[in-house]
Amino acid sequence: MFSSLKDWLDERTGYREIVDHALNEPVLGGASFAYVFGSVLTFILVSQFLTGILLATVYSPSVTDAWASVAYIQDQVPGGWFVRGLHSYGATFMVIFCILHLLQTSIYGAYKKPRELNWIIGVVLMLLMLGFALTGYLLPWDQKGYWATQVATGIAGSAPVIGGATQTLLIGGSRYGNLTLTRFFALHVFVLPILTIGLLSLHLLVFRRAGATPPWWKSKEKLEKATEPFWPKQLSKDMIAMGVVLLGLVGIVYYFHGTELGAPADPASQFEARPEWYFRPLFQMLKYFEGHMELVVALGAPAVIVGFLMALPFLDRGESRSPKKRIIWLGMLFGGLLGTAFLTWISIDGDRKNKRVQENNKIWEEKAEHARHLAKTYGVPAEGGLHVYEMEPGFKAREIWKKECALCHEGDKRSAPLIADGYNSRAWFKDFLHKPSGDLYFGLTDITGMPKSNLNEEDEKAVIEWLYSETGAKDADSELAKKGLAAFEESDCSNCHSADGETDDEIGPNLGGRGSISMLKKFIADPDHPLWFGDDNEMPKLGPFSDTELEQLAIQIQNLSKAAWTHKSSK
Amino acid sequence: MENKTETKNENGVTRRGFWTGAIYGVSAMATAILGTTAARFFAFPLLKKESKAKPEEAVIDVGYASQFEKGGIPQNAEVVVEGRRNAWLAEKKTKAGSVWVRRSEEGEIQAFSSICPHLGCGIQFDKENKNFICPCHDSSYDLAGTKIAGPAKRGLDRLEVIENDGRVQIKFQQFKLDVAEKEVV
Repeated sequence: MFSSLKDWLDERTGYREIVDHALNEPVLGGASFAYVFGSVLTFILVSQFLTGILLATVYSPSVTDAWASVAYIQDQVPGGWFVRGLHSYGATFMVIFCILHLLQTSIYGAYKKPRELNWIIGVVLMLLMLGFALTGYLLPWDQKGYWATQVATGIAGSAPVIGGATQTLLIGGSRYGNLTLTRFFALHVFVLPILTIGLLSLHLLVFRRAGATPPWWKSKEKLEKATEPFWPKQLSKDMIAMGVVLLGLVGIVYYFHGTELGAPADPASQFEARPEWYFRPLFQMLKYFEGHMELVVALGAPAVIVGFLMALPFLDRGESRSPKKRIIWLGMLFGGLLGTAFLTWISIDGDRKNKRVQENNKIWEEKAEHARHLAKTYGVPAEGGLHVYEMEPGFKAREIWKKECALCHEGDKRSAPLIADGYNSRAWFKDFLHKPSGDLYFGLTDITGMPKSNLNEEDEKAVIEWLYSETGAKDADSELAKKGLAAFEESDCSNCHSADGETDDEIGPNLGGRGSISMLKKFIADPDHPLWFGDDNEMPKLGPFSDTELEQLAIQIQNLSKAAWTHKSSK
Repeated sequence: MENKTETKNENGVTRRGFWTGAIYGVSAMATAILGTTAARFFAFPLLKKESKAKPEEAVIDVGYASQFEKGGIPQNAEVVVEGRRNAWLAEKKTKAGSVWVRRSEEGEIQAFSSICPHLGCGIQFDKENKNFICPCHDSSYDLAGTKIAGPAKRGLDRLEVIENDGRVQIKFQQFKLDVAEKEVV
């Protein structure tokens, strides 16, 4: 059945001839594992295309959605972390195999006649690949992508004459924004892939014309004798290499559980910007140069390297492909590679030993984890990834606290009772009853008329339990609290305080429901209310706050009583 | 060394078998790994958790019952849902659609989804002919939502109306298109 279908197809397309031609291509000197690097690179490229298309089915290139959509891929799409990991480590594999490919072909003298042009095409392909890496790094719009790319476009901008225009075109204006992302995205998923497919096709076509560069140590006769077709041995060796690479890639992705996703890009933060490892040498070099020299190095060094590679076929014009006869050129190539590797190592090792970098990285790793947790649990608000922190329950309350309350109720410069961990706990009540005018309590205000408690130990314990239960504490002993209320009514305390939450003409504040959510809400909204301090109150009326904000603020204050009160009043 | 055209010498068969086996083996492995990864990633909306998500329901308030006159012209009300999760996005308020509301001659308040049950275009009210029309494929419905003409397989989708303290509330739902029976989605 299939053979008749194949016949039908062959009659109309002539595909058999094409396939035969491809598979029977003679490999001069026979199949070799030395030739697998190009095929492996093509395979990784195909894998990058596949994972890239998958990522694009979810990714959204906008300042407000980019981080959120990547976090969604990472934590919510089934196998999302794996696909993203394959794509990210796949990029690293591309760089590694590009270097290996370059080493193999240079050792074999593949840049020599008649392969000069293909060598140059290869160098351009390598540049395209670095273009992929650079544009892809920004897309998640996380801290490291944002800050590292700032450096990269900054370097582009420093180029003489065309620098400014290049930078503006690249980032779509004078500063980073939606157009930066859409432009980088278009480059990454349309422009670079199209150029790569075109040039790679050319690379393969030209390669087929001259064939693989055979071992230099074998005579022509020997090579011809050992020649065999591409199928099945060379193809098989290529495939075995691909299989090993794929397993390695999958293993690494599993081992690291995918690649990292930093915290959402925060232009207001101080982040330790670092490029991906393959840009480290350049990054490191910039540390050693200042002023004009910096520019010369930033743009000059890559230009010299690329220039050298492109010119190599014309610099080394000797007939021989034997490495011994090309020691100068290969020495320059390997020396340059070792130099860049050394710079990479210095840069990475320097960071490892730098306490500031390590501490900062740790802070941002924790922040990233927190942001991702919030994104997974609550979603990301329309304002963008950076606003994900606001999704945390109580976030607004903490902001209000910092802005409106902390100045008077926290720290050494406060002018009102301290409100901190342990506030309204049993220990707090106890200490308060003994030193109501202490500096932790009302000592810093004009409300200093309350005498210290004259209750006996047993009654005091009960009264504290009652006061504690009024705050809405769930672990209050209701029996003891009842006794406490009775003791309160009997004591001198009730001369100035009521306990019903309604009477508002007493000297001291009404203690009914004191510290509960509803009381705190009412008090913060209207601190002058006669139910509490009335005319004696010094706390300004803040806000206006929404009901949710008041509620969150009250919950936050109420929660303080769960912690221990460790402060000691000086008076 | 063997001649390239000579493929069937005694050892060649088994050696060749190894090389071709490697080709097919690696192809199968790569297809399996990348294929399942891609299938899972791409087809996750089909997974149980996603497809069996609870249909969205929202009760919206469209005004006082007294606002709707007996036999009056149907009024359109927007449906806004709160707290919708849109993939990664936590939406505060989202327009989810609209409903047509009217009071019949008999005094009953009726509400219809403004989505045509044929293929989902937005139903309009034709003031001249006093009926509902679909602007896409010309289905038309009378004031009670019953189909008059056109390709739709059922009448307009009635929505539950709750009268509460003089206010009219409508339970907003969406339904499967182009089937004869109403089915909540």
